[in-house]
Amino acid sequence: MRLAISWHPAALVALYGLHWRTAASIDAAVMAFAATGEGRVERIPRRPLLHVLRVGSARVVIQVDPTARTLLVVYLYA
Amino acid sequence: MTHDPVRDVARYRAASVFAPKRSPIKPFACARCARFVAGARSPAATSGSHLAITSLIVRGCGVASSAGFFFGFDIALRPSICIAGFVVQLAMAQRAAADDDPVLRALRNAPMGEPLSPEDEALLAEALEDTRPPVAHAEVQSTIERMRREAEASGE
Repeated sequence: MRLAISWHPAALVALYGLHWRTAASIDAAVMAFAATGEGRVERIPRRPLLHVLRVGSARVVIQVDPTARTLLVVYLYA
Repeated sequence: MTHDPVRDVARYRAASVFAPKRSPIKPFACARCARFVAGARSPAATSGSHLAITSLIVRGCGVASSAGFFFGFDIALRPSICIAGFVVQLAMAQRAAADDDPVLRALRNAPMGEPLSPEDEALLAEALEDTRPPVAHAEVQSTIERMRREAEASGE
């Protein structure tokens, strides 16, 4: 299942504040996970709908809707 | 598909023995036969009446298609499709589909991470309350590409 990716504006504030190489690597990791499920992903306690995708030292908070086939990047801890 | 209670109960018993534990095919007879199984196990059935749950099953399996598939409810009232006397739970079928999808499988098998710090939790809560619409991925990619060009133009 290939997921359509979208980014929450709050996550983009953090993404655009990074060096472009770091931003590109995070974006590539999100794309890879959405396409193949590859990546280091963790659940978040008390947040059953959200997961964290770890990309280096960055933590990408994602929300997947299997029905709508979407992956929303909710927040980014860079 | 005809329904012979004796044959169907025998099939039910055989399926109970041989069905794999993790198989989505459950060892119940089809929706119509579930009435017989439930009734046979129900003290109320032996006295000539049926339990309310049995009546629900009977109503649920009232429609049979010409292809021999039956839509109904299994003995626990879960939506099911009956194929050749076996009931496949719809929820289990969806679970099986999720098992085939690498993304959903990765999410389901993901380990529990550490709790967010109070600062991270506050930032996340603030983001979740932000009602601005999401930005499409293509726009994000073009912005990163512009960042790259600007960095290269500045000699970085």
